[in-house]
Amino acid sequence: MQERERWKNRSVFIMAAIGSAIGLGNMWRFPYIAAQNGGGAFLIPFFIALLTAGIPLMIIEYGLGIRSQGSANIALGAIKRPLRFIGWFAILSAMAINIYYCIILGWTWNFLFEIGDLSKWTVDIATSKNHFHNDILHLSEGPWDFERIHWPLFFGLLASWVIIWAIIKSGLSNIGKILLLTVPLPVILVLILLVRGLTLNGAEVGLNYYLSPDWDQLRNPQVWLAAYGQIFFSLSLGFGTMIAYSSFMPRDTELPNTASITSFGNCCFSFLAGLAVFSVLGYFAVATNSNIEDVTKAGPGLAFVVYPAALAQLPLWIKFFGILFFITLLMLGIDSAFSLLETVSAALSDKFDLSRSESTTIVAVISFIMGLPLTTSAGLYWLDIIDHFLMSYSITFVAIMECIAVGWILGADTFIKEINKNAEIRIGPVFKFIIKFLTPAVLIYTVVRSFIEEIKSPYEGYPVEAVLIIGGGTLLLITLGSIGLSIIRTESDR
Amino acid sequence: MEGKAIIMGLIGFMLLYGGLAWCIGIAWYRSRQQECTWKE
Repeated sequence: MQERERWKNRSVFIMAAIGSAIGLGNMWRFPYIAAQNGGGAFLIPFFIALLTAGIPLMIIEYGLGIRSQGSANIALGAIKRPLRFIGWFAILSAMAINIYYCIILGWTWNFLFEIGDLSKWTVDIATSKNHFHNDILHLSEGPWDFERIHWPLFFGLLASWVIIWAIIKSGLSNIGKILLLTVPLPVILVLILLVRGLTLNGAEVGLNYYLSPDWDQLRNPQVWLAAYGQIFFSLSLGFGTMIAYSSFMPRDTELPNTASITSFGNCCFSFLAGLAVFSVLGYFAVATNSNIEDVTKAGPGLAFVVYPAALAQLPLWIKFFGILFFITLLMLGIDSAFSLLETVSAALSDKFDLSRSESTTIVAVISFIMGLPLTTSAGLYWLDIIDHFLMSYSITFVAIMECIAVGWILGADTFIKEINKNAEIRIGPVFKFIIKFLTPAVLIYTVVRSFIEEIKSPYEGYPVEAVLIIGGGTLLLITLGSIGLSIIRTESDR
Repeated sequence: MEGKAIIMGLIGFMLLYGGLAWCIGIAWYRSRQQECTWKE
């Protein structure tokens, strides 16, 4: 076996974990979810969810990685051998997520390269959407209408994979140096966008919509579920990344406070991004005489439709702020993407005793080839369905199993005792209650609710067979792959 | 900007950034403590 690499110190590890956790979702999901679920009042359930689910789950993942000094399959297998399957399920989910995460980075490259010709950036949302769907994605009529591979998207995808492959292949000490750029830079860029946003006429309209509290919403259970869901998805939990990252730290590493710093850092960025996004959206609503609710979108609709339209409205320096915004997206996405690649690469390396270079190259090439359908005209449909299934079922299932593995099979008391040996903030009975009962209950309820919704009507009105084949097929492939990798015995399993 | 929105913005800022500062403060204090008790 090769000697395990190490992060240079605890600060670099925290930086890596924050870089992984802060991604596109902080910029394009949190502000929308907050505004839709009580505005400023949403911050209360969000903060409670952070303390009662986010940080405890982060402690579990860090603890699993550090005690086993291995990837998710080894970490969970060390508790009970059959749990290796759950570890591989998490790792292969990370691989699937990265396949479509990189195509989103590919879209971003395309927007960056067209900034020389701003004639396509219009102030009208319908035209802006048309530009994104027709000129960038060449979107077809449905998920089975592939038409052909579009070369700008192909090269965007290739560029993203080459960059993250080169970063991960270069080893942990170099990754630590790269993180000094990819973690602080988006924060600085978002601050610049925020200052620009706050000086625009109408910014207060957006900020009122984002922060005005609707206290009645706190009695709505859906708002609390949205808060727990947002915390859970935002912290990169449930796909083995935090387990892999923490396994590169020595066994005597402090955990509860490290997990708290990572989780708080991630949420602080979300809050800041919300201010930057809504100040610009408020300006856009006032400038185009439209309602703030009508211009508020989430996901690609915000980043690639509304925000470019809002930037096109700016009185000065449209290109400068356009470049700034898309570089922010790239920086947010790249360290999340390379953390996902590291998750899979480290697991293969551990399992088959491969060098970092070999395992990274194998994963990157396979993932790139599997991502090619996303560069066709049906790409957005496939991405949407796969993302929905992975987020609603796959990673939630992994997180539930992690809670059961640590809380019930290993034993919460044993885990707490191990963690408290080096803790700056000691954990106790509250943590035990959270991981044994509260978090699993919330997550199980979320999965059951998603499943009932699924049966009532197919996701987003897609044809039933498309949802079953693309979404169900992805989960089936991950399941079969996990069974296969759990069964194969190698030198490292003995 | 509405007063309620400003107050909620400040509360959100204090909860999140205060929490982060508190955790970093503990880490810094403990590392200082270890330095002081370390012997040649």
